[in-house]
Amino acid sequence: MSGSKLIEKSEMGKHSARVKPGMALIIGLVGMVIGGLITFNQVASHKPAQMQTVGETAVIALPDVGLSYLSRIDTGARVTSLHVVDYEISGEPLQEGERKSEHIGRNIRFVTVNEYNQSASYETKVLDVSSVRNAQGTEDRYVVELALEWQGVTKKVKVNLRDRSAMSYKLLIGRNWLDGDFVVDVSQSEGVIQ
Amino acid sequence: MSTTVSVWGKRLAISGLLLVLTACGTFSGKPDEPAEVAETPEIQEPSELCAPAIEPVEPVAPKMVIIQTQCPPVDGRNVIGEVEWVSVMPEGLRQKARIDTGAQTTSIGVIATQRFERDGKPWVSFAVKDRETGKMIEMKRPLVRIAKIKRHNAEPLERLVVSLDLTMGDIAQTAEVTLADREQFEFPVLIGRNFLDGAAVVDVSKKFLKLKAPVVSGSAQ
Repeated sequence: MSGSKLIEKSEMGKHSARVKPGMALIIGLVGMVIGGLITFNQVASHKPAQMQTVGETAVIALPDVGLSYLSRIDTGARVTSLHVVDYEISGEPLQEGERKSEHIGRNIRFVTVNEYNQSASYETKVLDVSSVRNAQGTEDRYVVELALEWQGVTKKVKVNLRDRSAMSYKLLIGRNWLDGDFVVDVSQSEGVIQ
Repeated sequence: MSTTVSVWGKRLAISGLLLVLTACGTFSGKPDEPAEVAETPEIQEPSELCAPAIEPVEPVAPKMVIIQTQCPPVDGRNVIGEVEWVSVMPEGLRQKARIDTGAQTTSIGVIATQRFERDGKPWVSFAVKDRETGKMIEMKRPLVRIAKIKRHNAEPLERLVVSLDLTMGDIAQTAEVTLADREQFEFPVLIGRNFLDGAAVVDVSKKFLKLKAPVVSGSAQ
């Protein structure tokens, strides 16, 4: 390994004997500075160019769960929300009247169903329990972290789990997934659920 | 000794050239113009520079040309944030609005709606509270329709719908708006898809991208 390197070095030395050593050094340094500057400027100028445009609905995949959903893109919702029809909390059996917030840190195995009635189950840790206030009142929901993929972009965000069977869209994309990476154009759509 | 220096010099020269080449390869400037870094090129805000804008090039000393592609509003679309100021015209009542792509119809918080008839047509009068000043502003509009709001586990709600002229900076839209009770909501106005469609795209990482004061038509831009 080191032997071959040494040979290479000495051979290069023979060839470069024609080039003035000082000149070569200067050319090299100037080249590096110019290259570095251009690369730096490119990085700086490309930073805001990453925003993709998503429509009022989009087919979003949950690669870990193994399902895709025609999702409603909802800038009015802070957190992304997923339809869950059943779940189980790991560890000791639940006590009557136990609050969901007591299960933070334990594992949840949940069953989710998309708009085609395809179902899958997935197990992950309960990160949090959120109290969500909406037109129907206040309810506690388990919060987990899930990867959501659209058009080659995957973002891992907090997702609250709830029964969305009364809703048309089984996955609701909130601001926590859109933030910094997507702009929403409601004149575009990937499908509509009546 | 001099051989070692020249070896490293050559290596540096090669790697330097390679860096220049890789940087230029992905560069979107004109390929036949020498990429010369005489000064740091000015990087404009994406909102200003959305259509591919070419920096002025002096004819004698060529400068680096930057063409920014893929900025968010590539086609000059109007970008708004997750919260914006919206004004009801002609009253000029200005309120904060949550931009909600999940809502079909725009909604405004009102107090005391009253239906009445004018020239045999159904009208509605309502009061809107200016949350900044606490003042109540009374408005009268023809009733457009009555919307039935489906609710989970509850009786459907009936809401009166009127047509309102709304402005958000340079965006002016006449849109159907449901009159709602939004007292306990953070924002008195909810801007739905019927306002946004074709008028603006939403960037939730921003707020108040539009002018607070309504831009009166004719003077816009």
